[in-house]
Amino acid sequence: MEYSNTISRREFLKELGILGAGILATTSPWLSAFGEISHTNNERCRIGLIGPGSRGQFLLSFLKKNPKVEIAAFADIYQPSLDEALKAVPTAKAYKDYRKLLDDKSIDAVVIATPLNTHCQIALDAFDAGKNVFCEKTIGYSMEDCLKMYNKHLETNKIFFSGQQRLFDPRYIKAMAMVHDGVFGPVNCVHAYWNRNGDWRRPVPSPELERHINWRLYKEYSKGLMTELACHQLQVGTWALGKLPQKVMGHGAITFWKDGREVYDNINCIYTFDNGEMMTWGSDISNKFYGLEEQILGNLGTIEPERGKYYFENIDPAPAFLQMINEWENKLFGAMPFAGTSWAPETANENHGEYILGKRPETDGTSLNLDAFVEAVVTNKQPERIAEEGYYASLLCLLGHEAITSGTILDFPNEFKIDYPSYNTKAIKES
Amino acid sequence: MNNITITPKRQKTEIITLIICFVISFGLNAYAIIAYNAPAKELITSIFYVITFAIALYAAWTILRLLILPLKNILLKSNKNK
Repeated sequence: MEYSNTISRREFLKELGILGAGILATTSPWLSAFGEISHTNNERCRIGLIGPGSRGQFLLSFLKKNPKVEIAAFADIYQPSLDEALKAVPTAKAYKDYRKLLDDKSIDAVVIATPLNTHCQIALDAFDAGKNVFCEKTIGYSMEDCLKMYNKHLETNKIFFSGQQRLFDPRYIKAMAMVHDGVFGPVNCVHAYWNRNGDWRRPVPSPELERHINWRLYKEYSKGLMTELACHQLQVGTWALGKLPQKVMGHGAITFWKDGREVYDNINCIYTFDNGEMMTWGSDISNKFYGLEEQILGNLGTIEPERGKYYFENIDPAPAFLQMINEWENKLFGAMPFAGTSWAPETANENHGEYILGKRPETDGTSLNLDAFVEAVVTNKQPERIAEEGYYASLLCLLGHEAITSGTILDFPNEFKIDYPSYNTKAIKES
Repeated sequence: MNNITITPKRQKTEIITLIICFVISFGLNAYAIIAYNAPAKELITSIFYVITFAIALYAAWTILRLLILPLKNILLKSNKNK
């Protein structure tokens, strides 16, 4: 089988460049999952994929390439998804009921990529059946669901990963190491947004399948943008700031796509921290001009990890010759009544920033996230913080959603706080 | 097609004009470096801007000369007629 796991890992570590093991252990401790990768070449992990729909098949495309993985079975209530999955792995078994898949004792782990409202029960059943669990984010439909899942993971001592792929994205890992090392000064603000211009609908073969296929648009199944998009990005904010927010407020509305959907198409939330730091998250799906980004703002610089770049606040001035020409232009056009001073161009160099990895981004971390899960399963070692990061990312989305629907400022509820040691880093100490 | 002959004198004039434009441009860069407290290495690193400015100056001067030339010819003719 053609596979590049060792190469990709080597590339991965190479991309992290000069970062030492100590820095990585502090800023991204879950990378310990790769610690024994060369000793596990003969190990195999039998995986069952529950929910081989669009996201499930995306995950399958990476799992198939891993020589340590054997795709043993699929489970889905929707036959076309099962048929598609079987085309990719004809030797796998197919079930309509995921519990039959869980009955297969030879399966070591399950990957859950079903609609959000089903995650919790499937994950609980999987843990009870002795399976290790990789669950797509958001992990649970409610905060209670998330806590139940996390506690079940602790109780059964089984591996628990969520699909927070940015935790394994070399851009983010390196950016966070720089943030935690104080390169950009104390981080006071994180602006995250994800804008699209589309109705977010999938084609439906017959009307009775509308809610099953477009489940993201209906409250019964999902909480919309907060649980499907925000979960990717809110975790980046807490990763950068190294702590959890204390309060959440927000507003959401259906302003453009009034097509029968029940979830908001326009959202903004503010999360505030103990020292007054803020994290905002917004999404409008009627305009894609600004796309998606997490802007991490320190007093010395800015990081835009999605773009793969960082920018320092103080940059070298333009060459003296250009400054002089520019001053002449300012004097000439600034003095002309028809032009006005605002016409005169600025002298400052445009700040094009630097690539975090020295080149354009190539991967989003999904394959490495899955590789790390497989390694954790074969070594039976739960990497530090990985379950907690997934848990809190989910909680922040759900809390944001609750703040929006209740129209109130919510405190982070104590009953849902789990052990989450703060990142012991230079930037955080300074702030 | 008529051959256009550029005399050695004309060539020399144009080269000298271009050199003068470059010297002016280079001098302006030196002045700017002093005026804006920029590092001296900009004498080299800004050479592309200096060359560009020198060419622009040469072009502007050439356009000016092309505009002046017909006027000059008219004035010379009218003087001869007198």
